[in-house]
Amino acid sequence: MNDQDVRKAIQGNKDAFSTIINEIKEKSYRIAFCYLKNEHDSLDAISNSILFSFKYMRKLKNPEYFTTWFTRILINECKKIIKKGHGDVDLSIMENNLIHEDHYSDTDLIDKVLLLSEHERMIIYLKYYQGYTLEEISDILELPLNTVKSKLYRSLKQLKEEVEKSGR
Amino acid sequence: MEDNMNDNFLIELKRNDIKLSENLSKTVNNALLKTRRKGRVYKYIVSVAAILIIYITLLNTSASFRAFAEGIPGLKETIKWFVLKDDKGLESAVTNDIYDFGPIMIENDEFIVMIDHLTIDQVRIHFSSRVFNKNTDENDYEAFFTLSEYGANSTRDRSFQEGEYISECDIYAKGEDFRDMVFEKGYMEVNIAIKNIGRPNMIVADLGVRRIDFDMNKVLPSKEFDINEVCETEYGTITFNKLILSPTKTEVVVTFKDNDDYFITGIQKLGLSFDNEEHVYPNGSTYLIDNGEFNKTYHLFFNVSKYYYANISEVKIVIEDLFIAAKDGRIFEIKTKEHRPETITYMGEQIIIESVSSNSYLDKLEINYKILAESPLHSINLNIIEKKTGETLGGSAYVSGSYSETELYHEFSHVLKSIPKMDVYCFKIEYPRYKTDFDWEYSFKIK
Repeated sequence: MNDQDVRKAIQGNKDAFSTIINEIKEKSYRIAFCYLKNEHDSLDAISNSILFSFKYMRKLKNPEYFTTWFTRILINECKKIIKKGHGDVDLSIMENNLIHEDHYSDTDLIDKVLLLSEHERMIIYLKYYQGYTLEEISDILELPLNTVKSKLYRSLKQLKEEVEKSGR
Repeated sequence: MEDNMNDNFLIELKRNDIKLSENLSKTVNNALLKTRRKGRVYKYIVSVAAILIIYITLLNTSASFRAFAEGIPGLKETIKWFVLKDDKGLESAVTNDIYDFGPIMIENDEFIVMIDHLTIDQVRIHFSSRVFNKNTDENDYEAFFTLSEYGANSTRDRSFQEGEYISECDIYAKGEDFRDMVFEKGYMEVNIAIKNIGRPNMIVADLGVRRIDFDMNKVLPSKEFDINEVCETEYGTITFNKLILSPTKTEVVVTFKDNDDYFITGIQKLGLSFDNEEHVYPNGSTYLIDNGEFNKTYHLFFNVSKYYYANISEVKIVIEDLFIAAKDGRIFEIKTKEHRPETITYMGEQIIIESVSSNSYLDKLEINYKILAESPLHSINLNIIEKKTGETLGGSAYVSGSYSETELYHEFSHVLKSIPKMDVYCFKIEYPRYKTDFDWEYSFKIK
């Protein structure tokens, strides 16, 4: 991402804002989907995050952190959608019902990732699919660094065992 | 850690990804279009506010204007400002035409605060608010209301709708003072502060204490019913004193009295049902009670109301599981560099502190510890203390904790800020609680 575009967007340039949003829209959608596991809510989360980030662009101090900053906003929007939609319902029960085959490229590892618990799948996804560092993930998900590390290790181990079990 | 993993596994993991939605570009473009429109709208926000005030005043004073406005698409939304969510009590009150004391406009040189859909009963005040800046096109502001004089609890919720922030404020009674305030005074005094939404710690304008008058004849009185039922447990007694029906909430007055050895620190679920309908619970699914001394009366509020129902044949109260803690030995002092494992006996069980570590990064201190315990522990507070003086330097309730049922261990992680750097951190953990199986139910009729 071009820092110059982010700087212009911070100063209120709407074309520059459109450019940077278009650059991150695909990865943002995937992160939202990983969190919410359905298309409609993921698109809502993206839309709300764009409006929110536009409003607060001026408050972004370091242009190089734009992507992390936007991702944090996106995750917060996802949390709001879950809170609004499901209340106190046990999400782990609902998760299996929300998965539809047609949203994945095929029945590869990604569907096993999406069956992990909320934090575990987000950590795996942000780390291996999106390339965030563990410190950045700790910041985005507002989890202690050590928790991120232990959850990452545990879920990788679990995934690997499942893959071996299914004979892949 | 991935060094231990098979390389092929990681390559496989990264190879496939979530398929993109066909509607992604359309959604993004629509959102970007809205950001472009917004700039134009904000320039006229002050005049819009002025028109809105006239409009709302007309709505309230003129039945024909209200009827006219309801027929215009878009304007109808302004009339229905309530964000009811799961608030069945407020919904019931609105359906039954509870009196709306709004709109009210409060201003100073720079800001206009619009209070609308103001509903009052003897246990609760609820309203929405919007803030307009008279001098700029920014609308990033929110009003904070304080009624501390009446010892009330308050909750706030903010929604962002079509480029505007609307706050919902809910203030509800802790006890009798609030009830007296509503009926004896006939007005309320509210301290109003304006804050910027992006910088919630800073007050940008203080509008001071403002008086809001209301007609007492339009506040509906609550209906009280005596229960006086005692629930005996081996950890103490729970007495249900009263059931109070108000237009927007139901209240149960309950007294907890502990025995010599234990605290009842909370109830997993305290459910209330009317005429065999589904149980409802106090705000929040688990009702937690203060730490410490225990012979107290609590007012539990439920977001449901049967105030307007003439015939209720049966009311049922159920308790599912209690949280308890022992009075003695519930504070443990621990150091980060001591020899482990370390064994502590608490409530007849051995708790083993297996490992403790600390980790400093950015401005944070993270303390992690692993505890072996036969039963799950709940709610642990951690305080970092100064080794020599025992003075508390900072603390937190546990941020994330997990319990393995097969291996019987907990992993707790606390993140603290502004703790001075030290070679060895000395801290105390306190107030572990156990959940006990307990089921109790009581039905009664109200006349």
